Amino acid sequence: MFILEKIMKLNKFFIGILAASMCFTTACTDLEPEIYSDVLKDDYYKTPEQFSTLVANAYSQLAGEYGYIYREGYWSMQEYTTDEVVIPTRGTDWFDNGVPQAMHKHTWEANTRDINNGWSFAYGGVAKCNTVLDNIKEIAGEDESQYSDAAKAGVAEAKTLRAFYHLLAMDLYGNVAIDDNSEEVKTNGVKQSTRKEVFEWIEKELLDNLDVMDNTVRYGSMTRPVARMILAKMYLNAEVYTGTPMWEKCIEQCDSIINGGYGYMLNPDYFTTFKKDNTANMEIIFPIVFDQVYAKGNMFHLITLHYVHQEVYGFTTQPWNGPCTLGSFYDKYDDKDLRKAQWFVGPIMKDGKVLKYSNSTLTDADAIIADTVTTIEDGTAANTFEGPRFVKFEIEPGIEHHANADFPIYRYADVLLMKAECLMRLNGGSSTSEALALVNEVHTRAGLPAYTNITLDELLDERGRELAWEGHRRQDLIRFGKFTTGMWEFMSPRSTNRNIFPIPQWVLDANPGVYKQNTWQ
Amino acid sequence: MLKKIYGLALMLVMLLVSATAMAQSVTVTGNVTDQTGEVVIGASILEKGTSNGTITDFDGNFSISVDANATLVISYVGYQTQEVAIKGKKVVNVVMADDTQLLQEVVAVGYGTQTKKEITGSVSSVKAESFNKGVSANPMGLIQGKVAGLTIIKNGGDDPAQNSYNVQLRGVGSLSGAASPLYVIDGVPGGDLSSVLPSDIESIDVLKDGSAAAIYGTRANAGVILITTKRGSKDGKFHAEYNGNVSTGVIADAPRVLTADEYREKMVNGGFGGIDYGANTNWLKEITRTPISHTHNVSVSGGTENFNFRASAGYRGLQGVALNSDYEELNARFAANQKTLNKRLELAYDFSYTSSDKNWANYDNFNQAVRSNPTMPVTSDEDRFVKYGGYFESDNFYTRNPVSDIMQTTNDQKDQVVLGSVRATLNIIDGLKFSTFYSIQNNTSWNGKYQNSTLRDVYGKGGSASQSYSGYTQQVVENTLQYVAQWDAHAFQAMIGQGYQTETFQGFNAYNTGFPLDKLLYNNLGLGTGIVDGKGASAYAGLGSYKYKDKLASFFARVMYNYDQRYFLSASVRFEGSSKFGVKADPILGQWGVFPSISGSWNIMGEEFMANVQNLDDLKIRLGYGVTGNMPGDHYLYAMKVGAGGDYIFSNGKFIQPWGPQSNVNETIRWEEKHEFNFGFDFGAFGNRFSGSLDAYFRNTTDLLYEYDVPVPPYPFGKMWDNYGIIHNYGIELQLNGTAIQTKDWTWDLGFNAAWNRNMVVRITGDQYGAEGVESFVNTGYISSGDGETGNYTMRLAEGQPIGNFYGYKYYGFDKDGNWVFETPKGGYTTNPQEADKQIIGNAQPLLTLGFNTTLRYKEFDLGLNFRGQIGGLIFNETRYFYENTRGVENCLASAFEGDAQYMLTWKTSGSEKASLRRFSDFYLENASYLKLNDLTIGYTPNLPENFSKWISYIRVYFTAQNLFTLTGYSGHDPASVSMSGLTPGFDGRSYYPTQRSFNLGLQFKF
Repeated sequence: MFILEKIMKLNKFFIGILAASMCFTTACTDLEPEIYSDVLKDDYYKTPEQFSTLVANAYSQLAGEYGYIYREGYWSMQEYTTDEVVIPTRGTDWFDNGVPQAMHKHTWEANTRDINNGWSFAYGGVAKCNTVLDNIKEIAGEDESQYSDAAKAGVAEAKTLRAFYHLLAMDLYGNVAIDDNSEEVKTNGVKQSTRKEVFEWIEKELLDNLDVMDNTVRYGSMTRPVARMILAKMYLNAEVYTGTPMWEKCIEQCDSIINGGYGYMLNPDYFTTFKKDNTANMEIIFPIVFDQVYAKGNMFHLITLHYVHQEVYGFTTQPWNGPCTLGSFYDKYDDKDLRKAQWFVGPIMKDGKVLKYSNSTLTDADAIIADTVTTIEDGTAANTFEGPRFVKFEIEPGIEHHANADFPIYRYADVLLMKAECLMRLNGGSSTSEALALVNEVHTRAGLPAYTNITLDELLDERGRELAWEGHRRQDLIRFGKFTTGMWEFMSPRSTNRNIFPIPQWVLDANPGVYKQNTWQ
Repeated sequence: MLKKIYGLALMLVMLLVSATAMAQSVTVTGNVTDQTGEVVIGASILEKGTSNGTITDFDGNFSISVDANATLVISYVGYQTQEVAIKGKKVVNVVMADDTQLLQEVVAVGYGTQTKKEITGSVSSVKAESFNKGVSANPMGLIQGKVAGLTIIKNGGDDPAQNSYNVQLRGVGSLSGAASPLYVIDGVPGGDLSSVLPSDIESIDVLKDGSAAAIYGTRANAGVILITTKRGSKDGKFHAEYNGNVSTGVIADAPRVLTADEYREKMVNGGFGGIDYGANTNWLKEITRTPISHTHNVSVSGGTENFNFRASAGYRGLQGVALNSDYEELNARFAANQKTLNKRLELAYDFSYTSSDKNWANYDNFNQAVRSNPTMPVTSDEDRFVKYGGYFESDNFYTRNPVSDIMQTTNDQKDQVVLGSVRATLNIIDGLKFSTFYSIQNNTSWNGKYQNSTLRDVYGKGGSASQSYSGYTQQVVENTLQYVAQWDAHAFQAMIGQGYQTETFQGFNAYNTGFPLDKLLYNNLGLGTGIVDGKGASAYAGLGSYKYKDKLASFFARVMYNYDQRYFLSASVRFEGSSKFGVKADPILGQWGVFPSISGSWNIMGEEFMANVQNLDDLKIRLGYGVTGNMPGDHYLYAMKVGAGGDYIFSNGKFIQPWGPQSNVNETIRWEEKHEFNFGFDFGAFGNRFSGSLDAYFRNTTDLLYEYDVPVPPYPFGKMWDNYGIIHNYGIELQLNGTAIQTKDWTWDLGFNAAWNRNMVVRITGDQYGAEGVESFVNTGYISSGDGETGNYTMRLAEGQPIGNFYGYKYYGFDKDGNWVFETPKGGYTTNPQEADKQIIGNAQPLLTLGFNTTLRYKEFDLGLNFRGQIGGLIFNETRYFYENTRGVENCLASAFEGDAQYMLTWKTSGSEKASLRRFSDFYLENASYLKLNDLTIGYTPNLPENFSKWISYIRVYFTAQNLFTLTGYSGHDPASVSMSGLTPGFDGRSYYPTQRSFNLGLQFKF
């Protein structure tokens, strides 16, 4: 057995391995972690660049598909519930367990999906701001007076954003909780406050941090003019929030923005504000900055356009043929109103020909988008084409899910309209010459002749036409007392208690004894 | 006169005294060998009825001073104990015969072997001849249904590429996913099961209770399974063996959907909105085939006492029933044992190499085959389908043409496992041995995937390609010192040991879209434009890599003692630390944990009072307590990590990515602990022809790792890993074996095992995170409603309840309009159920799991059957939930028009109401009881005539049918393939690779 002899000689080699393994044993209690692809907190936040990525967390809740414009969360609560947006059930698509219709017809419950998501969105933002504040404390130390300018500005930014998230929560749910990251809250949890108490706390937070913040315009960041805008919105709706109107204070904040030398302006062309390269545009005060590579989430083209539009624009994914606006809302636009072009109606054309569409119920039907919605229940064949589609943001040929246009949370046109409204309200609801001038800046930009007189109702309509789908409609309707009065198709009048959403059931369950449910039905 | 009586008495006394004095000691010497002529070292020689004993020396010789009428009892592990009456002889030579009695059977326990007689814990041993027959994906398939309390369910139906099993011992004991047992392959802890071919396995031993498994410490909560491979033979001759088989199969479980004609009649003409496209397609048939598989292996072994080896090589080429679903594997193994240094040093070497190639099937295609309209053609010339490669696609976005997916998707994987180990054992002095062990295992896996540009799912992206690689290396060092002593009737064994292990995980992947040609598949990733222009969701172009390393250090000790082979006591402790825990894991021990155990047994048959009991050969009771642990999967769970997360934020003129903690950190993360009590009882009767054991156990698993809900604020994130939960399991296991007939021509063996297990969640959430007064529960078992709708939870994990409770509506019937009618918890009825109407509607876990096997031999023929099954349990039939109604215009199950389901169909067909055709209730829960004939084998082993047996010493031809039939009332897929472990047992999903009925023809011969 020659082979066997050879193998037996190898045993010296193996004994060598064993000797080596015995040496191994001297390191036999080493349990130090070896970390290769993970980053420990102690390794990071060493340079100013790295520090700014920390503060960026406070903004991240607003961004993305599931942030401010989430169609199953915050944006749904502010827009699907109004006359600006509706989602008809198109065939077997978009019924979505009845949620969009419940939102639109005001038949939501305390466990409706979008209402659940709205709360997590707002308080998720609060939590992120608090984490940023905690982390700044860990890096820069406990003594705030010793902070560098960057750290101080970071703290002010985070606190202002935190107040903003509280504002969103308070606007939706009314009697929410204040989480100011104090020791009290950290130990005992939050307590419910009344809407008025939350309002006052937000106001104080904003005012306290106003002077610390940069008094410049830094596109995308929370600076002093942006904080003033938030204050202006608070004061505009103060009667709804607290029972006491504060029109003068709103005017004061609007004036600071208009006259503050920041360079905000109305673009001569309405649609410039919504172009794909609208980054750093001076009409936008507070944006969510989107980008098809870096900051995904602007999918308006995807959700609203018809399937057949894929062939016109060469999108890499077929659009979903979902939300559209109501016929009654579309009719508010005069034919000469340049802004009417933000809605697509009519035949979908390519190379001069109307495109055809086939599905299981239609064969080679002409793809013509109708300017009204006749039913939001399940799908007759024509339902697939109903409703004017939202094309305010520039439609970019060849893109996939995500577009590049930034979404304006707040913009300058709104400032002008807000000031005009306050002036009118202080004047008993009639227009003043100053109010008219402000409204006409916006109105004439849209290619229409100037108003000579304007009522509050007309102002409400003008706000709708100007700011459609930008997340303001519900607030405006409530302020004008028209949110629950059933003034548009598919809606019936409901109790004014529905001006406030119920606190989601999961919140009540997760925090027993903390919240008392709103009177919302 | 008195003098005479006195004298007589004195004489009597002296006679008595001299009689005893005349029974003098004799010195007896002798030699002990075994049947092969080898000397037996250390065999015990005992004078029966006394404590006078000795052991044989290195040459097998002994010398003992005994009474001349004494009887010597000669015993040694692995051999039958013999008794030899001296009858005045001075030399007694003994030849020991291999022991086949049950309690002398040798069983592997941690770090050594024991006989069944000596075991004090609960250990089940399955030897190679009892394994399940047929083709098995990995070693666990060999013992399915053989061990009471061990539930083994194959993942992925009969997909040949999916060779892993879900293995659960004694109920669900973990909340963080499926905890699988620790596999120890020839002493390598955590060895990869795919490195061992079934034909190379000698035995599989399962350490079931805490006292047996505690020696393995922080990885042993889910049990320890020891696999021992075959070693070389010592008879100086050269042996070779070949074993091969060829097999084919058919699908054993396919849902019954409407055929094209039935669809036309019922869905189109019946007014449910079905559309007739004119074709007749049997979708299941389009995506399946008749598979042909074959396996071969060859092994050679030989050697002597001083050096022996075994080498084997195997090939498996398996086809699955799905198209493009294949598995090919090559395995080579070498094992050798050597004795040198005058037999003081023993060396053992093991080496194995496995290389495999797989094509993965997309299980969702089987779901698509159910829901696709049978009147749709597979391909179409219509213009609108040219861009999809000529495959017909439905309008509905959630229905995909499954043939298109198979033909236009490539998913290849190549894996390699290399495992090598060396062990050296030095006999320092008599009874003292030092052993050192080193092993290294390296796994690499490479996967390439490509979806054609014409596949509708990725249409417009220009194809989608990815390649990924992952590697794993494990090194283990163990040193043990063992001492064995015997004096009188006391036997004592002690062992101390030290171990150290490192594991390194590494991986890399890249994926891209925008390719100019489909022909290149995934081979030229750089050519795609996706990664350059950043278009598309990041799901389509990007790259990534990772590397982690874990370390485990341990010190362990064990003591075993027995008195007269009647009273046994065993105690062990393992002290183990892991780099996965931080220094705050335990206030005193830091990263370390202590895992003790103690157990004892009483061999009742060895007692005097049992000596006259007829027919009972072995009787033993055991009692044990042990603590084992479980570690988290995450490598650095306790550490404060930061990462980039979320969308980029525009700041100071450019996009930056936010950095911050990505999850709540918990520095006190530590191991889970399981405390277990086990009581057992073993017996053997009628010459050990009937034997069995009964075990009863109670397990308390605490500090369960789970991601608990925490309130936001004050925590930044809504979930946090922590050790908090507590689960109890208790049960009874029974194992019986019998030989009904044993004659020259006939043998009939039977085996039976059954297990009953109950479990209860004692604590899952509570005042730590939630608040008092709230019922503590976690919703699990989320099912999407599919088709873009939101889903709901179907199960609820609640304190005071067992795992596996279904939570939903209680079905009552349908009303005359076809509305669902549900019972409310208060006993009323409703047709508009709300969240508050939900209740516990059943539990998925079975009452009993069983196994039964029998082998019948007549002369040269043998017949073997292995059954396994369960009684009780519930399965949620997801296929019926989605498709036993006419909700979509796609296809549905034939049962939608039968039974109670047909009353649902009078529903109006408008969208909102159609949606509520799908409601989760116990209407879709079915009894899961089944009895399956796992395999049936008929074999023929001819007696070879003289001249043949010079060349071939053994030849056998066999036919095995696997999965021949299953008796069950369950109407969905194979109930035996539905997982009963983890947090969501009893889910029979829609996307399911079918199980197969296989027929194998095999040939085995030995030289």
